[in-house]
Amino acid sequence: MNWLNPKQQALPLLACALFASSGQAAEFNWSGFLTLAAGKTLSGSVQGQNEVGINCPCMISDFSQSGVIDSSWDFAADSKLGLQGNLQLSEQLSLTAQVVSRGARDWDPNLEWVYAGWQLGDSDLIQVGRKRLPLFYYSEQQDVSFTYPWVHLPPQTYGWEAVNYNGINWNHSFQAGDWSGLVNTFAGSETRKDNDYMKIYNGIDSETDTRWRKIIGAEVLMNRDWFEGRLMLMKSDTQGRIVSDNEDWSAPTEQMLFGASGLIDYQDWIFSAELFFSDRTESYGRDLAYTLTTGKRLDGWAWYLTHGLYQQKINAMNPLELTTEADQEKHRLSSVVVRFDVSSAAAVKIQLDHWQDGGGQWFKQTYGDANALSISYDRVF
Amino acid sequence: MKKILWVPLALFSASVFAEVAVVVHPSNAAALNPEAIAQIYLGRSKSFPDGKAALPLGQAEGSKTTEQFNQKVLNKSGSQIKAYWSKLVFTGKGTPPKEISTDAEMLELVSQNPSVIGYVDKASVTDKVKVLATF
Repeated sequence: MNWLNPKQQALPLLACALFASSGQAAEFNWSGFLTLAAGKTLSGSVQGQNEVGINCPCMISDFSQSGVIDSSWDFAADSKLGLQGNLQLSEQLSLTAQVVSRGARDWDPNLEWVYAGWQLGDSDLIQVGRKRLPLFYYSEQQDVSFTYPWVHLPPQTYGWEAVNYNGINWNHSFQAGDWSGLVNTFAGSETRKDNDYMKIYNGIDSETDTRWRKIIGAEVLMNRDWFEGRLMLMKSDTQGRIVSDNEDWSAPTEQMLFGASGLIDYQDWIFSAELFFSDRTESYGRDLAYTLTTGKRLDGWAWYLTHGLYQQKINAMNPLELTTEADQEKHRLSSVVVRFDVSSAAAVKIQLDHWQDGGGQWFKQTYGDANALSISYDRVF
Repeated sequence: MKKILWVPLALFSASVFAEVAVVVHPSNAAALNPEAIAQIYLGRSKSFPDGKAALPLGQAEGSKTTEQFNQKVLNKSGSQIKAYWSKLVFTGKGTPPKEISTDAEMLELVSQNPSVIGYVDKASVTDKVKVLATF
């Protein structure tokens, strides 16, 4: 694999050990990605340390990793370094691992992807192991900021307690006239101990475990020239426990998640829309999220405008005993992003965010409204 | 004075109007439009119209030939192509075409393998390969 200037290393001893009988050589490649992002809130409606222990004004930039931009410049919220190794054992079989180190997690390296891939002919690929859960259009590439417009993905849509899963997936690609398509079917489970997502709600020093079991879902992607469309449907059981409060696992409740997105990249114009629904009636109610983006490329620069909404609907009677007045969450984010490609493998982005809260008392008093500025350097290698 | 002005103008014209030839093995009877070529080079199509496997080969990123190919056939900049393949590589959904260093090496590989599709500077084309399209 000669792309991205990878450092290619032969592994003759391993190859000999594994394929002495077939005489086939294994090949090892590695590649990586880096985002150095500094962020700071410029203003906001909450001042001082909030209930969960964050210095405000503050703005959540990455729910899943508890990435929060606070009132002082730092690199914690969105910076990350990832390294991926791929061992191609034969034409059909490969092993891949990806380690990611994040500013939001004190740069502790974390093995986030590790899976075996088995290519069945030209059209089918089966993967087994630990992978990213493909909830949203950009989910699987969410750490590779170079590949998308923003410094951080729109948090109104990209904010859920599960990010990865352990299981199996089957990719089937096909042609339909001038269209090319991909169907990805996946199944598995995920237990996330000391879930960073929950620190946004329960406190940065709290410890909460979450569990999604019986995950089963599928996504369909269709491409034609300048258009790409995607549909996703998934269901699972969910459970949680606040370890720091000595709770036991809650009773499993079923959730159904639905996503749809469209992307137009025509000449130098970009338009994208992403819509997400959840049905979590068995635990509290429903969620709606969307993100709309328009962009224009101009002489090596790209300009983007994005608007996103997250809205929770809490049922009057719900097992978690949440109330609309206190707990219902609703917020919007409008963003302006400018990106400059420093080289074909590196970009600098500047993002200005305007967060408007419209939810219940708890979120309004804890995070409220905020304006934030982020600057990043993204690179793939 | 006129000579001084004409030399850089001629060099500029040569670089702007250099053509890229997409080449296959002489036995390959495939007829591909630019969209079909792009689908193969973006990893979305794995075969020629007759059903036989297609193996795309590229040239070094940053080379004039690759820049021309990216712009004219794929309608993307080098950065957009890098972002596209980064997405696929880091999500386990694909790997980009292997890169070949020179036109001569590309022509040799294409002439030896009916599955291979490649691109070279049109001026380098020899009768060992079949030109599918020029851009």
